[in-house]
Order: sequence, then structure tokens, then C-alpha cells
Amino acid sequence: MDFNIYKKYDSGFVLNVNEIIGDGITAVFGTSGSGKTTLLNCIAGIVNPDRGKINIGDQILYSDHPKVILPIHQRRIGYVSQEVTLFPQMNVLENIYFGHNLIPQRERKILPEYVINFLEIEPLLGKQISSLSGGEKQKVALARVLSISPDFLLLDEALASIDQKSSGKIITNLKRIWSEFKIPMMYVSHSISEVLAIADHVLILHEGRFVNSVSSKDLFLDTDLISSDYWFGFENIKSAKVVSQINSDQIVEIEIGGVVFNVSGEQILLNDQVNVAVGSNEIILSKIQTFDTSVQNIIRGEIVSISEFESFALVCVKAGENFLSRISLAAARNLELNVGEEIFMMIKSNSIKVLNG
Amino acid sequence: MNHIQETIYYSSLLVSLKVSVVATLINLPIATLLAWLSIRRRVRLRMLIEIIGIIPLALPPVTIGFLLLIVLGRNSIIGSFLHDIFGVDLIFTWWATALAAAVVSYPLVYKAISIGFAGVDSRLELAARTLGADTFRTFFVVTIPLAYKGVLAGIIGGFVRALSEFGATSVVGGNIAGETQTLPIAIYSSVLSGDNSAAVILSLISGVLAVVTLLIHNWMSKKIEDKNGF
Repeated sequence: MDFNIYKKYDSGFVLNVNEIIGDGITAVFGTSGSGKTTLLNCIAGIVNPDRGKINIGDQILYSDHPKVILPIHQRRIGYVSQEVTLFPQMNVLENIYFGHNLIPQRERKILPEYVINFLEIEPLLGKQISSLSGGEKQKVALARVLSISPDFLLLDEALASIDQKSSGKIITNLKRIWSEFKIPMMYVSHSISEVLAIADHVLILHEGRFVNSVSSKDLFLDTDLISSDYWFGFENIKSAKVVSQINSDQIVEIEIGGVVFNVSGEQILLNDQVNVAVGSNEIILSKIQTFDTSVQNIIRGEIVSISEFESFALVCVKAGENFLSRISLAAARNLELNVGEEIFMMIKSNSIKVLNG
Repeated sequence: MNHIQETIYYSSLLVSLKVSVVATLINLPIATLLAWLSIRRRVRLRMLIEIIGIIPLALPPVTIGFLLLIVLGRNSIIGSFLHDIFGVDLIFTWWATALAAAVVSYPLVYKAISIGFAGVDSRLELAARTLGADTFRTFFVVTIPLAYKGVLAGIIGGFVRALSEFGATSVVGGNIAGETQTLPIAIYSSVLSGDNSAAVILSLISGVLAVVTLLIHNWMSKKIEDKNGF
């Protein structure tokens, strides 16, 4: 997809963006009022830009010259919003088939039966929407948009309305959707934790303009591209594999990027793929490896970046994968941390939350 | 009870039902379209639509009847057109009675449907559009089913109001037994002629009709509620 959008509101707010969106999952990160939803609405056709153009491949969705405005219902863009908009008067199956039945037979590349199986929602099919949990609703919403064989997916804060425990499966599903169906996605969020967990590439939107375009990996190393407010509650959300059964001490071993971590008391099965979250403030850094401690995870790593903000420092540690640790400025000064140094991450086993609700 | 009285009960009941059903059928598409335009499309004529939706409530029914008499009479543009082209005279026919009942009951239908539409989450309609539904399909498959309480209340409210209408219908339809004599007009006739027992029976029929209509409303609401789950 490529777009060049100019939209001015009476309030004076101007969205002026120009970008080529590649394959994979692209996140648009921005604060409230930065223009994220306006951008999605312009692409979906809910709002028309004042000028510019929006294309998906050869198909023109909008153009001011020559004037082309493809109606919303002909755009074939799957839109999953923060507030799940399933039709309450229909059951789950009817919701999923709603859009699928409206597209011509020859254009039905993705079959609802396949999607239902893919997202493992067979048990929900006969249920009323009101009886579903937040996570279930979000899965059904995904199934519904996939069933229209979309050319592009727009996801507006898709995890915001569900509890963190349920978010893991959605994150996994979004990644699986890309690898299975090869539908490019744009994920919009103001949560940097979600953005880094889901997207391959991040566009940073500020006051209606893209101020940066970076890969997720680079954002780990260059955290000062984003205001400290958004890093404060950062959680490292990682994909993990369960590598042991629960032992007599109620500990399960999981592997993240080839490194084994101990997790306590989680009912997960051997070989399960799960997402886990570790708060950046739950990762304690130590220059020496200590064994006289109650902490179950002492992981050797290397400091790959240090960013100092007004009230804290973010240290990116590579240990299989990159982890961000939030420490106080005083701690950063006392430890005299340097990029390239060996460091030990100390994480309590119960500080690693498994997101597989 | 003699045969003539029985015939009046029966015929006035039938006329009332026919007039009310037709009045509701006239109102339903007009009120639905105007309510949708007013609530969803925010058209420039919204204020006019709102005024049309309220004014029959503010006017005495007799005035409405009088205005219809002027508009539909043979000397009016519409009346002369209908007479000259189709040979039809509306005044003092059950069609005129139905039209008068429709005008009087229109505000109830319009208002209830408007409230129904206002209660529909517009994001659901947008979701339908992004899933490939055009405006027409979105309206019938998403908007109307979600606004069913308002639509049903509009239908029933309008129907009941049309059943009870007297002033406007008597002016444009007169009091022709079997043609324009509705239950309220038959009651009025009976009272005027001193036949109180007939007035009581006709009133009872009106009452039973109103109760049956409300029971049907509740039954239909329950059926839809059970199906929809809300």
C-alpha cells in the first residue's frame, strides 16, 4: 500500500502523511490525538482526505486527481477496531459469514471454515455475541475480516479492550495470520509494548506527521525516539516455547530466543508456544553473577544500548533476544554501565507472566 | 342485540382495522426514511423533517381533517388531478379516512423509529460497510434489526393511535357505515342516537382491540429478543 494523505479538520488539526507500507506487520505508534484513527479512517474510506492518493497495488482507493473515491464496501480492507463491532443480533457463525457471503464467488480466496479452524473457534460458532469474553470476541472479529479475503488489514488498538492474559493469543494469531495468509497489516497503537511485540516495522506519528520510520529491532536500540512516558510501563512481550513439564517446585521452563527461563505456577503444557510478558522494571541488572539469591532467573547478556531519560534509564540487554530493563538514573550511574559489557539480568520466576488466556 | 347493531359492530371493527393497517403501512416507509435521514445522514432539511414529525401532534385532529379536506377536495390541485385523470374522489372514502389516520398517527411512528435509530451504534453500520455491505443492505440487515424495538414501538403506537382517531377521520371520511365509519365514529353515532348499550359494546370492542394489539407487541418483542439475545 502507498498513500499520500492530507486532511485538515475545522479544529486546525492536519494529518499530512506520505508512506509506502511494505509486507508484514507495520505498526503506527502515536499518542492520543496524533492522527492514528484519522489515518485508518482515510484508508478504510470512512473519511475522505482533502487531497492525496491511496493505492493498494494497482487499485486506487482514493485519488484527488483524477477524482476517484472507491466506496467503503468495495475497498476489501479488513478493519478490526478497539471496540469490537460484532453484530449482536447474529451468532458467531452468522457474523463470520456476513462479509464472506457478500463477495463474488471467484474472489473468495479465504474460506470461513479454514479461518474457523485456523483460529480454533469451532466451539464458539453457535454462541450469541453477548456470551463471549473479550478475547473470544477479538478472535471472532479477526475471523470475520479474514473471511472477506481482504487485501489489507487495519487493526486499531486491537488489544486495548481485552485483558492482558487474553492478549497473548491475539498477538500469536496476528503473526500467524501474516505467515499463513500473507495479508499485509497496519497495527495502530499507543502501547509501545504491543507495537514491539507485534510489528516488524514502526512508523511514529506525531501531530499528524510521521516523524520516524524504524524497524522494531532498531527501536529497542534507539529508545529515545519515543517520549519517556511511553517507556515507563514498558513490558517485554516475547514469544516462548515451553521446554519442560511443571516440576515439584511448581516451576516450568520456557525458552526465549534459545535462552531458558524459569516461570512459576503456570498451567502450560510441554511444547506449547506461548507469549510471555516481563515488565521492564522487573528486570534487575547486576554486573556480577550471584547465586545467593531467591531470584530464579539469572541470565547472562550483553548491554547493547543505554538511553537516559529525565527520571530513569532504559538498558537494552541482548540475551538471545533484546530485553529492556528500566532502572533508576542513580543505579545506572552507580553501576557505570557501558554498551558492549557483560551484564546479568535477574528476573523472579513469578515476574514472567504467561499470556495464553 | 339486533341484526343491524351486529352489522354495525362488525363493519365498524373491519373499517377500523382496514384504516389502521393502511395508515400504518403509509407511515412506516415514510417515517423510516425520514427518521434515518434525520438521525444518520444529518441532512440540511433535518429541521423541516423534525417539524413534519411533530406538527400533527400540536394541531387539533379536526384541523388536520379540515386541512386534508382542502388539500384533497375536488377544488384542490391534488383533488382535481385525481378526479380528472383517474376519476377518483378521495373525500368521504375509507382511503381518505386512512390518510387522515396516517397523518394524525405519524408523529408516534416517526419519533419511535427515530429513537430506535439513534440507539443503534453507528460503528456497527460502519463495520458492515467495511465488510462489503452497501448502504441498502447495511440498513436492512444491520440498522433495522438493531433498531427493532423502536420500529416495533412505532408500528404498534401508530396502529393504536390510528384505531382511536376520531376528529380528522370524521371530517374527511364522514360517517358512512361500512365505508368510513370506524369504531370511534360508530361510538359517537350511538351516543348521539341515545343507544348507550351499543356505545358500551363498541367501546369494549375498542378496548379489547387495544389490549390484543399490545399483547401482540409484547409477544413479538419477546420473540425477537429471544432470537437476538438483547
